[in-house]
Amino acid sequence: MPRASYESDLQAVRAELLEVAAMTERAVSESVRILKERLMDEGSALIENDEVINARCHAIEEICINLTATQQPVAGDLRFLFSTMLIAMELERIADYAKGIARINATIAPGPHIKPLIDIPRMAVVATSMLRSAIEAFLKVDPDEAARIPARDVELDLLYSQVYRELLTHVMQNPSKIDDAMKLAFSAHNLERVGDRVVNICERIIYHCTGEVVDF
Amino acid sequence: MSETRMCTSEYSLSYGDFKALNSITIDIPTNRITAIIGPSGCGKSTFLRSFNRMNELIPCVSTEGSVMLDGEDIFEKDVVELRKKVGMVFQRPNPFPKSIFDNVAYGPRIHGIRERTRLAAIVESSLKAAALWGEVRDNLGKSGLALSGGQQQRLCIARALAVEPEVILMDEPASALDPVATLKIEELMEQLKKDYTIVIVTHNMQQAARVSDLTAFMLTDENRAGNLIEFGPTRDIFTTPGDKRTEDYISGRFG
Repeated sequence: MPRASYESDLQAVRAELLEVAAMTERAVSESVRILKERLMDEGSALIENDEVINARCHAIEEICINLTATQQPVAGDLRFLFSTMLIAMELERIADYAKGIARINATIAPGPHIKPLIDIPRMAVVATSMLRSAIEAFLKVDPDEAARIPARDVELDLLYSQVYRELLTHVMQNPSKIDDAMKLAFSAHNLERVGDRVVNICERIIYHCTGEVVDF
Repeated sequence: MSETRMCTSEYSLSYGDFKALNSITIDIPTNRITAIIGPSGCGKSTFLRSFNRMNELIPCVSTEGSVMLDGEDIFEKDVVELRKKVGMVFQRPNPFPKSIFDNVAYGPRIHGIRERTRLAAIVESSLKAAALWGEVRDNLGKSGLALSGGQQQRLCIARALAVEPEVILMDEPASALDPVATLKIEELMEQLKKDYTIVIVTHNMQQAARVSDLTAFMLTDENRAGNLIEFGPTRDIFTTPGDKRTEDYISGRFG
């Protein structure tokens, strides 16, 4: 096969992106489990794991830059490498949001939350399912599937508004809990931002598949 | 898209019984650089030579379809007049074994210009347009063959410009040059397209991507005849080609 080594480099970077995406998805789920169940000891492992995700995302970017510089990719390969690089950057940010939630948990005094967490875990389920679908669309080179995912971000936005409203009401009734309420609101905001990042990933997937630059 | 300078319509060319080009239809726009790319033997140089009837020098050549310049059939034109309007630069620089001045003045002299001052003005403006004047202005009597490869190629471009063509055909103009001389030629092409229409054949896809506005991709069919597979803006061909064969070729997956 002509360019066998180049082909294998492209396959390797694709496989690496999929692995990092899976790690990122797990980090988001895990961060919310830690927050929900008030697991005070498990946050540090997640925070350490974020370093690994960062390093692997940077390695993906470096591979994409090197292949662009040395192999002169064009057409589908060019779109793949640019999309992969930008998706890696989005994954890194998503993992940062997960790390942020674990850190928030560490700053809230041990014990039950000011109210049971119902919608924040729901947000995590929606956000991670969006991310999973996006990565599947990337794997299948399916622009139609990628174009359907951003609509689910509305659900996240609605859940976030609901969480925010409830916390606001709670604070009005119990002003002394303002600090904890704000921290939970930040956590919900992080998850809302995960949705936005997944929408960006979907835009990159559509570019990868069609060459069209879209903005949802 | 600017107006069409040259066009072919269902143009085919055969060497005896062998069909080398199969029914090619293309519009070459004015003041643009059109690159023709494709694997070796796909007929791109043959196609380029069709624009100024250079193929007629080869025995047994027959053609079908039309090739037009400014809306006129080139086969009905006087071939000397045609080649004055459609100049050519070749792969290897081929200056005449004459002085730099005489190389550039050769064409105008053939076309009847005799006055020394007028010839000098043409030589100066042509060498300036070919971005060579600054390097040779004090040595116009020196042999063209004494110049470096890159300078010789720019001398050949100046020689082509001296007869005031409308179209310049370039057949692999930088393939015999080093990277710096290549970039000078590419930069020069960018300058020249303001006043001329350029068609370039190149094996170097990155060069086509760098310099051209439009790219035509050619490929042989099962009978080894050259076909035009895809033609469009270069940025589209190199980011989102419409035909899988184009994508495979420019990505280096065959050819």
